[in-house]
Amino acid sequence: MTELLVAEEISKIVGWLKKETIVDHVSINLHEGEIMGLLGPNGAGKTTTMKMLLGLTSISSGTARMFGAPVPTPASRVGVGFLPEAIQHPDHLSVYEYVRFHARLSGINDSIAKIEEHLRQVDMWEYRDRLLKECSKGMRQRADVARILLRQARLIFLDEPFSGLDPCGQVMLKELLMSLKKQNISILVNSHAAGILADVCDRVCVMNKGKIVVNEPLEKLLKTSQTRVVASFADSAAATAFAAARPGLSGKQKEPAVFEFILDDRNGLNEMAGAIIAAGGRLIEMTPVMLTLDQLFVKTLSIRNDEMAGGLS
Amino acid sequence: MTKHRYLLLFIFSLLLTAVSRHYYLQQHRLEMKTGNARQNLDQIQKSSSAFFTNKDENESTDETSDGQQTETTATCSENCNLPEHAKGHIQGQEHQHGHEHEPEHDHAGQLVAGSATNDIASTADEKQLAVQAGQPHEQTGTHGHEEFNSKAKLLTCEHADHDHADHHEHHAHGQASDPAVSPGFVLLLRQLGFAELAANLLWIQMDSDSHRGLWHRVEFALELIPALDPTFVDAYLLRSFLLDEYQKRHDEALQILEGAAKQLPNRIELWQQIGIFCLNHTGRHGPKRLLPRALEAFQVMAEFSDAPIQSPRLIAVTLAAMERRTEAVKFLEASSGDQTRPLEQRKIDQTMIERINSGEKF
Amino acid sequence: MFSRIRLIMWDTFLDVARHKMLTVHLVFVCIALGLFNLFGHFSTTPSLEYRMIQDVGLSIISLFGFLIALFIGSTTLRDEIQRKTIYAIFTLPMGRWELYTGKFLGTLLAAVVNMLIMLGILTLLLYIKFGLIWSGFQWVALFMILEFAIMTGMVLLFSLTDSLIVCFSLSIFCVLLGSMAEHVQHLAFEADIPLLSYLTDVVYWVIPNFGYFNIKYKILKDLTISPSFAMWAVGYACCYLFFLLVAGSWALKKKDL
Repeated sequence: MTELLVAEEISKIVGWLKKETIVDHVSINLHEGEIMGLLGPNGAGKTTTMKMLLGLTSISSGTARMFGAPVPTPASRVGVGFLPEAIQHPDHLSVYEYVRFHARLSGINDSIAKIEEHLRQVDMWEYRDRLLKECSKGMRQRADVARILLRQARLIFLDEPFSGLDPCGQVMLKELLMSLKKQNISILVNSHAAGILADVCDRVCVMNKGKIVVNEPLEKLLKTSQTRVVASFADSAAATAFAAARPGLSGKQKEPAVFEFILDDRNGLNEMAGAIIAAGGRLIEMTPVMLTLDQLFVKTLSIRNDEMAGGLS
Repeated sequence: MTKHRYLLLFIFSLLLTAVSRHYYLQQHRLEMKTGNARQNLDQIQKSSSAFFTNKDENESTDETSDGQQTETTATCSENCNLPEHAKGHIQGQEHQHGHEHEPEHDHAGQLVAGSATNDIASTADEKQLAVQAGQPHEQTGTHGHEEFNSKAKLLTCEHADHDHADHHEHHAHGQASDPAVSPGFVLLLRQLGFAELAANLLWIQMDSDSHRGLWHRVEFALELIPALDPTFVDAYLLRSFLLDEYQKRHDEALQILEGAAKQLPNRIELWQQIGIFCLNHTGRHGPKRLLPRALEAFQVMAEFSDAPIQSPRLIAVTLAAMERRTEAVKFLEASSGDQTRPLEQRKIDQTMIERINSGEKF
Repeated sequence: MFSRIRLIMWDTFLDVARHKMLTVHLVFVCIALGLFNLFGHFSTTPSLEYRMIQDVGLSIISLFGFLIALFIGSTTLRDEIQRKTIYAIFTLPMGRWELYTGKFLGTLLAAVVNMLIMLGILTLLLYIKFGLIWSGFQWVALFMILEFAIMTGMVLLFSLTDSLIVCFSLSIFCVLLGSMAEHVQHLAFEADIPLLSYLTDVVYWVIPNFGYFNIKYKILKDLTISPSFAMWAVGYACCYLFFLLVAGSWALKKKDL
């Protein structure tokens, strides 16, 4: 897969007298058609990293290339779209004028048909004549997506796109991201909405205090060695007896005759299945346990913070 | 090189700005006929300082209130050498009478046309000629002339309309107030771009001061007004008149007029006044007569499309004074033969030809 | 490139034109022109009254024109940055200088249209009162445009500073200093402090001298302006604007958003 974005050891240092490192030697790669989630607590340096890559803020050290062109040259931004957080749209333009203005600025054919196509894609064609100031946040965001799509962007940066959206808006945006992915468009999403990111991202990058803590494919990150086992027995007494015979198992009785427990070691799966059958039970479900992104995020940060604290002491 | 593109462009644009600025300033000074701003400011500073001499003024008014009027007269005389003015203003009832007759109250307009032609036509018979010579001046249609004459009229009218009793009461009780138009206010107005307004307000203040006998302030106001508005012709005219008539600083008076003409070469009244000044008939403007310069000034004046109707006679008189009588007669004959000139004027031209031929000294 | 600049210029103009502040400004100007009409009473003849109203009117237009340039110039780019709309533009494959130039031209266009409306009001006022059509209109308009262009360029440059107060202070300071540059230099020279003299020399050469764009008295006296003089004025203004645009574009390029 082609690498659209390659950032090597980029850093951002601010301040004249008292220097402060906002982003510390961050390296990111993004492939074509890949969606990468950028996670991290407030002040971790996620937005600054994005701004550096987009050429909005200078890079203090390190290099970055987009589409093979060095950042921040205009060539590096040819196929790039950006949806900033809490953008306030120009009040004097309608949805249609807004999209057309950006298309013209990009030197792209701004024929009505083309604009219509992209506004329809985001369900905004009906509202084309509405002034942006009269649109809801979700509508404005969709108009922004349309402006990006019209530019035929192949790499899109989204900064907190889900904040302030109602559940319907969030679902709609999530679906939109999925459809963009299908079009082989790469997306870098910076968000706190870990639950939604987990549904759309291929890879997750967790940042903390300006540094990248984790940068792995999502599947790999969420996978654990635990297995959830659900078994049913003839009656509740049989279930209780089965549990009592294995004190090492952490589990609970879901129903009087149904017992659910977590098996830490996958090597013991066969043995456990045999034991259930031997006890007159029936195996109902046996699934690997996956972490949620929120759990992973909290877990990663707490480990990192402990490490840092340990290092300091 | 490309890395420092902006820096190089910045330096280049800065140099370009400096060079273009230099040439633009040169052109500006040439076009606007203005001197260095330093000189200008010096002038304003010098002139405005006069307003701070209120101490003298207060002292003098206090003294007036004590009944020591003679000393006030002396102060004013020392300051500006204008005893008649001072007397006129201080001597209550006599003053009003004085306004109607004293020539100094005619200020600019009548000073130029009236007094100048009086120089030439000093006898009673010639007065009519002079008045007629002055008439066309009022008929000229330019803004400047109109304004010029009307300002003179205004001043005359104002003198008539003014509540003199009120003014004189002020003087008599020593209540000469501070100037309503302070130099700070004037400078502020100028810096805000209201130079014309500042000059006009100062002119009104100056007129009021003249009524109150504050002649030192009048003198400085007349210096300050052209510094604020270099095209304020009346200020040049009145100042030169005051210097010439009352302080007998004839050369300075002429210099002021010459300077003004350099600045405003399109103002006829300046050329006329320079001509009359240099012709110096009856020696009223000092011991010197600058006849070639007078001729030159009258000729410049005559070239204007709206030149005063008496211009040919003024040129002829100057030629006669230079003892170029044949030339003068020829010139007037051509003028009197001009059918476009009013009949009345042509008759006066004929009378003048006779006077030149009779060998009368001009 | 030029089409982009034109687009930004037009968008800025539309953005500025809908500003209520401009309407309020125009109302103020109308009131001020009407009130300052009273200054005509100081005059003694209709011609002098005409000139005085012209003079005061032009001064009001200059003053309000500067205020408009100040308000528009200080907010147009700053607002874009604060509203983050500029992010969407800066992520396009275009140079920042293009946006800066477009913004400058749009702001200037708005200021010029406003100025022309104000001049139109004054001309109408004079026509109603005196029945005369103003002859030097085009020269006054030209020199005022040059003056406003430099003012707008300066304000736009200062609007890149972090604080609006700093922008306002610097702009007003520069305009005042620009109007009195020679006098300040002279006073420093008089004060006989070498360092101050040196400093004012630098200021004198760097800050535009707005006094030289004031041709009002020449117009008021119906004197003619030679084309060569107008050409030099335009040349100087263009050079200065080029300098301001380079400085502004450079500052914007260096600015971390």
